[in-house]
Amino acid sequence: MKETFEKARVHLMTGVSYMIPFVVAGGILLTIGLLIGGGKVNPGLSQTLVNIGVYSFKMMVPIMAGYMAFSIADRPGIAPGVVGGVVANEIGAGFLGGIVAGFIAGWVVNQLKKIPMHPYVAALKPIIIIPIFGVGIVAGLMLIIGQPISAFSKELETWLKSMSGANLALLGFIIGAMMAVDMGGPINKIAFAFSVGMLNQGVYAPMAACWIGIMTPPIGLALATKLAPNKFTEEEKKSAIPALIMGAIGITEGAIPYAVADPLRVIPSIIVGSAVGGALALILGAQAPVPSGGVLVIPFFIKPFMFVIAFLVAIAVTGFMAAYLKKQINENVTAEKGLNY
Amino acid sequence: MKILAITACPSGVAHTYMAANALKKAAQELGHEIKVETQGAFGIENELKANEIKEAAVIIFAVDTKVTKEERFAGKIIHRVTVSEPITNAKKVISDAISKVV
Repeated sequence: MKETFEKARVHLMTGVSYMIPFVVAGGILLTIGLLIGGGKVNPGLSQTLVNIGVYSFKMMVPIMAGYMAFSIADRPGIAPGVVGGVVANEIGAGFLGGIVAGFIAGWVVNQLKKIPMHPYVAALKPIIIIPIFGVGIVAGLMLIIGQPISAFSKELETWLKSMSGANLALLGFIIGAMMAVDMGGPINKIAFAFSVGMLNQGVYAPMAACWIGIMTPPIGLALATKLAPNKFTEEEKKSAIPALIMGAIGITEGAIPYAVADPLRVIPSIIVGSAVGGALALILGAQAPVPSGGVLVIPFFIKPFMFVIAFLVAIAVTGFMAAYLKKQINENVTAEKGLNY
Repeated sequence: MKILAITACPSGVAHTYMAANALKKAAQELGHEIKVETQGAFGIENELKANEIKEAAVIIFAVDTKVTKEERFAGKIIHRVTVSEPITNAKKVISDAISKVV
């Protein structure tokens, strides 16, 4: 069971990894277009950039589904997966539909591969049989099972867009906490995939909380080494600057060395800081249409100033909490088991 | 012992290279020869060659995504872990991989 889940996760992450450049390009170009147009779409360059951004966004789900199927069934999986993703887009089943399409396409193609064929015509299989039946079956299935997914997607979208007050804060809190809890591990990736998927539906708030949870842990811990230098080893203090840089470019893993050395005190600090910051960012109305790039893309966020306020609060909470919780150390003992990578 | 490894993570900018460095460092400390191919956002870098694959005792896949060109390793002993395992404890990953050989 665990293994099946693990495999499914690898397939999903393969799809996500090929999709990310499309989301980055789409998110940034679209935002630049809106900035040029003074906050809305204006004829000319603004319109052109927004259009390009939208074209790129539209490729998200097909590419993800295609490469999920590629991960499951190798090369022949791509075409049925991509078309399944296009169907998911067309019927409004979005990102969730794309995930389903990717798994279906991979499975269907693997079944088609097993059909016994006479050696004389075996060559037809990869170039004719699998593309035709693969695409046909996957698209057909998606048209049917995509409908409830589409309804659910629309509900989710409306619900997320209408969120306000306590609900919105809770959403930010949960996403922030999930991002920080395993610093780039599976829980972090689930929250990230959800937030990226929501970009496809035009819901940009979850990504803002996501960003808080991505960048806060390493930066907050770097701050903690300055606040309470006698509670960190020499090596930990030296890695404060690298951790700061990693945090700034969006690499949560920079926090891992600190967490490994003292998980029970460090992990709660980064969770609380990120969760509080995530909740605050959403209450203040910050939204992020871009899933990659770190501090460099903050200017492209919606209400970037509010985001920065929440971000600073998150860093401060993590920094002070870790500085307070950590115990005075005896360098000789801790240096041994401090950083082990 | 000659070890090969492939590292890959979804975004292909952080984990992939951190895991690669961790494996190199741990292998050096444990006295093993290692070459690590990274499959990150730039695609395949430091590609493992056919003769290297032939000579290798074991191959570590530290990946969260599909291994590109996996067919190169048909018939080899493969130790598969997530990309974050070497980052937290690379020595264990390497000794686990080696225990599969003997």
